[in-house]
Amino acid sequence: MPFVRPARTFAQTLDEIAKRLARYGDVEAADEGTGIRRRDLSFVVTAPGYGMPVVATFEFRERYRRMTAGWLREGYVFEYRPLSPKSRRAHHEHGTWGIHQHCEPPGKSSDEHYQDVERLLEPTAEELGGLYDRGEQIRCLGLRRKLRR
Amino acid sequence: MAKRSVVAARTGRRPEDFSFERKAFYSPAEVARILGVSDQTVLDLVHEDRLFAVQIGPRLYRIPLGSFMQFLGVPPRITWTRNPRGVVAGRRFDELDRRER
Repeated sequence: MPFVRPARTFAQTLDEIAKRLARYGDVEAADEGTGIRRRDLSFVVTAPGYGMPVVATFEFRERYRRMTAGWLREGYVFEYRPLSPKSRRAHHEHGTWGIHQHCEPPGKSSDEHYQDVERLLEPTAEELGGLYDRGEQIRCLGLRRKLRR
Repeated sequence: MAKRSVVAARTGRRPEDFSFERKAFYSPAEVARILGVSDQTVLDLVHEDRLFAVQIGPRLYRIPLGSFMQFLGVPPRITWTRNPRGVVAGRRFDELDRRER
């Protein structure tokens, strides 16, 4: 389903997202391409921040295209990577794979693509943040492989 | 018993202004000790949405370091890059597309 962010409130929404993510650590945010037709957003969070050793990183990126109604989202990359034990949970929409997810439990590196539903940044940030907060290990049960579209 | 109120520090404080032990997360009891208030006061702050905490069990909360720092008045650590014509943030998409093609 097409996801459109209204142009008028876009910048304010981004500031709010960055502030919310800053609860988890230091945030590097980028908002690029507003002057051209393609707008790329990124929020990279290193947790817990404040000069402490990094225990996990979060990455939230979205790509938008300008339309009369606002900015239409064309793709996203949402990732959570705990460093100890090293693992990964990711929700993506991009390229020929379309909407998919990745999951790498501790001790198992995999580039497998799994089926997924469309994700929005804010609830996904809460969900992945919850995994970090609870100190939950990443589990990959019940995921179904995705074939390239 | 009179309820003790906690007023969040004014903004503009620096992390170095506070000397408590840095941890990724604090329990309400640890925050209470640092602030010199009761555990219940910290839970009240959480329930009033003045201090962000994550509920990880029916009566179990964890307060992330960043959330506590913001409560103390330390501005959030956010670095912004705003580039109307740039594509640096978007390179990651191009990388993924290339790698997974």
